[in-house]
Amino acid sequence: MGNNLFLQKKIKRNLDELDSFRESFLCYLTENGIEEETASHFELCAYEVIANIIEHDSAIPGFCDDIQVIFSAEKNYGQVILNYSGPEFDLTKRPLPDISTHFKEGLKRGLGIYIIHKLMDEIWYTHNEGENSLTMKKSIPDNDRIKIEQIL
Amino acid sequence: MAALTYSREKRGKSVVVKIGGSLDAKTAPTLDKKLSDEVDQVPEKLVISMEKLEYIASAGMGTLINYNEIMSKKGKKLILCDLPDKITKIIKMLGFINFFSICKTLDDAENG
Repeated sequence: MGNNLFLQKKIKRNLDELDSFRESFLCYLTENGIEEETASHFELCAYEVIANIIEHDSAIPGFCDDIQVIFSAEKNYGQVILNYSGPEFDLTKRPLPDISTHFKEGLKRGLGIYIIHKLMDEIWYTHNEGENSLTMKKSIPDNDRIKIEQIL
Repeated sequence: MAALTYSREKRGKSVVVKIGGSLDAKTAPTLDKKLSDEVDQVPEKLVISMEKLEYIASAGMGTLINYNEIMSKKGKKLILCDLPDKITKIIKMLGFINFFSICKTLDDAENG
């Protein structure tokens, strides 16, 4: 990938797997020059989506059960792509919760999508014959970029 | 990452709960159950010390905000204290900071 960061991982649909995934993902990002705060945003958003996929347990029999996570960074942005099988469900089209009233209405969940929109710059989703792909993109501060280039 | 740790102590009109480790999709239901057992035991204040908390995800934030509402409806207070910098940063960035009463230390929370 030349002067770009690239990481590809597969994880099982199991919340127990997520602990080690997020730890290794965060390590990879910070060890490759991304400042801890920016890295934690990528890690938290990936975590939120994967936890949502696992909680809905939406694997389709006959399709790959694993969730593929791809992180790449180039120029001044990074992106996380999550590929997984399941019925079409475009969480980018879900209305964002109004957090000023969300909890007064007794709702506890539904914050994941709010967090993703708040921490990422762009999100898009595609679905094709049982395969879903969600991409989350975020700009990387210049200082981090310089560190990445020095490390690479 | 560590699993959720939880301890509780009654101190005067407060119940002090210390949580640590990871508060996420897997562990938030455990905290939810434990806090639900506390709500009626708390005379005035439920103080949650987060000094040892390493990680928080949306499910954890949702649980804390929800109990803040529950305590408020019962005329009681929920106070967070000893927040690690990285937890404070993410709560601020997400705009959740104003949902909580936050004190720097456990002493401040108990005496404030």
